[in-house]
Amino acid sequence: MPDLNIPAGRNTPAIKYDPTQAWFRVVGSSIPENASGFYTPVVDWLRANIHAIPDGCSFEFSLPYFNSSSLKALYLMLVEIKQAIDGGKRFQLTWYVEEDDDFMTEAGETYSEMIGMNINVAPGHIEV
Amino acid sequence: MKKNLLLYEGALSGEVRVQLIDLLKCIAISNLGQRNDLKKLVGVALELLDNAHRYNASSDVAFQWNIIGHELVVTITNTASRQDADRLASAVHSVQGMSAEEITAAYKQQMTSEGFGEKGGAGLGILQIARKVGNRLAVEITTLQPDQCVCNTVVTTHLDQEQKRVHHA
Repeated sequence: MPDLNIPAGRNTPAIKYDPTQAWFRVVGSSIPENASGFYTPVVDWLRANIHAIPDGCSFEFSLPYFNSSSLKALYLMLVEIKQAIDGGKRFQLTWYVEEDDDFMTEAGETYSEMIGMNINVAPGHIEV
Repeated sequence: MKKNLLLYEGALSGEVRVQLIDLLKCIAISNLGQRNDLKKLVGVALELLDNAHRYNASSDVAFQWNIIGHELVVTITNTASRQDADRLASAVHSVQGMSAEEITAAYKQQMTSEGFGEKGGAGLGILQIARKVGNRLAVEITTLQPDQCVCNTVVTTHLDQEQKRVHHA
């Protein structure tokens, strides 16, 4: 499986899959001008490799700010994860929010409802 | 009482867009205090700046962030092609006539639609604004040339005092 390790940019999050620690993380503000250009390689990576990610992997998201085009791109990533779970994979999904952050909380809950999978919306912050 | 918290008139590059959002975060906290809806309010500015940056026919914009009484008024003015201006007007007029439930349904439909637009947009910006702060959006289109327009977009939202929160030491 090819590595996935995209460092954070000025307006894009860090995205990394760490097989030794069994997590896939998206961390940082996501306000790219072209979300499609930034996220499409990540969605493609997931589509090609998610079947090889072992059970127990934790998919974790911590995005203090994002624009609506990022929301769509993240949705596409979550759909890939959901399809893998439906196919028998056992993954956990956590959506980290800052304290009293309505914006992020609502986004996590909306995703959970739209995609039809359990997303643990939890207070806290992670790093890559 | 009116507070003109930010007025920017000039080129809107990708870097300026990021700097304006950083500045707005500071301005919002300093002038509105800690609130649960701060990100929603800044998010309105972000969506408007994104739209203007993506569809601007020149590099310049005029962007304002005002508090008038108990309302936040965010205004952006930019040029756009006739096609993009018409699309913006159509999106705003459509949202103006929607209930909250209809806005949510349209948002979910757009989220699940195929792909992105040719300029990298998801078609969610206006719907996202309406979902977060209500549908008091207005747009005025002025024709500059046969295929070029000036778009003046205004979003008004009530600053709910209940969103303020107190931090205890």
